[in-house]
Amino acid sequence: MYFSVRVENDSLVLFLQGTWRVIQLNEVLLELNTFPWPNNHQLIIDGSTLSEIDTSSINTLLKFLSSRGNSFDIISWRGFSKRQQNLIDLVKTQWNLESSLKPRNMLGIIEQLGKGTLDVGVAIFDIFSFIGQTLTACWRLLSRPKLFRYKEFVVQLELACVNALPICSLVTFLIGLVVAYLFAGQFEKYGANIFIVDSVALAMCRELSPIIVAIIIAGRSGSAFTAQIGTMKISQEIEAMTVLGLSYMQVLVLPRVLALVIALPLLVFIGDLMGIFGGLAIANLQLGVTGSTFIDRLQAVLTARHVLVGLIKAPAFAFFIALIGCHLGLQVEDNARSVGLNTTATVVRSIVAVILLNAAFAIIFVKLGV
Amino acid sequence: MTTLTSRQNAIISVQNVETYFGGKAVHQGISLDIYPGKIVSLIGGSGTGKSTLLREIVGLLPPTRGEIFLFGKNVWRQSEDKMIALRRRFGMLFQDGALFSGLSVRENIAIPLVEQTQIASPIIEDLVDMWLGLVGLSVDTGDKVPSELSGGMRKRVALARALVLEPEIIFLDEPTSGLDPINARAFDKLIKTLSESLGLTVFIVTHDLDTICGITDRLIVLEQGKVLADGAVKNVAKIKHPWIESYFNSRADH
Repeated sequence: MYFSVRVENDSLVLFLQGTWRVIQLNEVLLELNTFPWPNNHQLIIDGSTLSEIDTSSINTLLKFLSSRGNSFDIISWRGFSKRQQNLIDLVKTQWNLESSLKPRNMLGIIEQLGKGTLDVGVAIFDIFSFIGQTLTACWRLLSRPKLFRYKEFVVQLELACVNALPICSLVTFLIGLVVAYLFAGQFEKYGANIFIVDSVALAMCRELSPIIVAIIIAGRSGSAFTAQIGTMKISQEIEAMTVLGLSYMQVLVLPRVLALVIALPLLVFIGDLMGIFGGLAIANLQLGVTGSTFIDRLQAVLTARHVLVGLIKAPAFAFFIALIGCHLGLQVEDNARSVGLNTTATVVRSIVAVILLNAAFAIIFVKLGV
Repeated sequence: MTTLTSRQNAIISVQNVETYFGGKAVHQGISLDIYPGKIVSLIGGSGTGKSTLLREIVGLLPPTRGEIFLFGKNVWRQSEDKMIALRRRFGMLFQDGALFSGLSVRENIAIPLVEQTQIASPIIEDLVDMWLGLVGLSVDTGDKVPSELSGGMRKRVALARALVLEPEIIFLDEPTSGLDPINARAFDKLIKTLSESLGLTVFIVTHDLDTICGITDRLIVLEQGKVLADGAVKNVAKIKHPWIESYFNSRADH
């Protein structure tokens, strides 16, 4: 029991009892709500049997009483300790101030749709203007090669290329293996075992290796760029660079873009080899195509043209992955959540960009007849 | 026996705490007893382990040796559940507020209520409004996100979040750092007013001489891993010690 009620000379006296703490507010409210309140009474609140009350409880009691139509003017208070009375006064002052509570501003669905569409438009515009900035910075670099940051470039190349070798090799090897396994069953039916070489080599070199490696790098390096640059932005390092007369484009963006543009074709080439190697393993185990037969056939069907088609795409993928990564890193806002959001966005946008570019390349190569 | 009774009355009790970081001594036997209803400030030069001691008291970092008691309970000997119950009884204001950046001001303040109590959400909304008012913010501020707030406002929101479960102790880590002098004094005044009306015990780690002279009942000075001085501000200020003298003269020099 948190309170009891008695009638004294035509007025209602509410005796508060025990401990009223914010932790137990739910029980207090339950009791208040289930009590049959008589109407139209002068209300007296008595604190003489109360051992403890806190601000939240007072606030809730006041809200409750006013929701039952008791205005403050007709409530009188008695029997509270000085400290409790002070608390009551403190809460009452706050209470009068904020009676003009505004309704919360909620975005309607149409408003959200419009906002979302505009955001996409802004994002596309931003990335194109960032491409422009990067190319301008490149132009400046060409006219003044001394600006180039070799150290940063080499560090990034190691991170993006050398350190990515194991994972890229493993994944492309397994993809080659799986593709060969899939085809092996089909070719075996027609006794066309040797065509396993054509299919695996062409699929890996033209399409699979570039796409798979680009997606791995988007997840590995693109996200890392965003996280690194974003964290630097939060700790004001980017601003510090600018004030010290350093261009973040030259110091941060260009070395990363160039490192990735060089790293990705190399990784794609390794991916080609590993994928073909996976195909060779299955051809050998499943179809009885010996290693030397496989290599002979490979030399006949895999002309340089096919390998180049894959390798030409790689720098374009790399350019966009690096740009998106750096750009979203620079767009990080001044809070921890923003880094996470932008890092995710980098991976998603990079993968979408890679797949769109790949489709564009496919059309171009078909038109060119390559 | 006297130490035992004093420890039982003390709301915060630190007993012979020693802390080592990789062999380097930070605290070499610190003992403090803090009694309810006072505003206590802890000062000391950089690297004297003020913030470390604070983190040890609130249960974020274990001391190498020694005991720490809050409300007579050993902080580092509590079960998980008991520690959660104990944490409800104190609040902490971090240096830059440490507001959750993904949540609005209103949600930040409501978090302890939502997580630790079963109060219905309309009541929580009312309580959040009250706390916004008590820390001197307008109701509109509630719908903003922390990144839209100034440093002073962020600290006020963080103070509301720390107070919303009505703790008995509040720990403040450099409450006025990063604030301009006007805002800093206003924040001091807010702490003083709230601690008086809510009957709070306040434990402040600070560098701010104005906070110390303005609102502190008791001042503790850490130096070289030990308690160098402990007492009323005007008594500590009279102590002849190079660090204390230069500290209190730092303002007079200007």
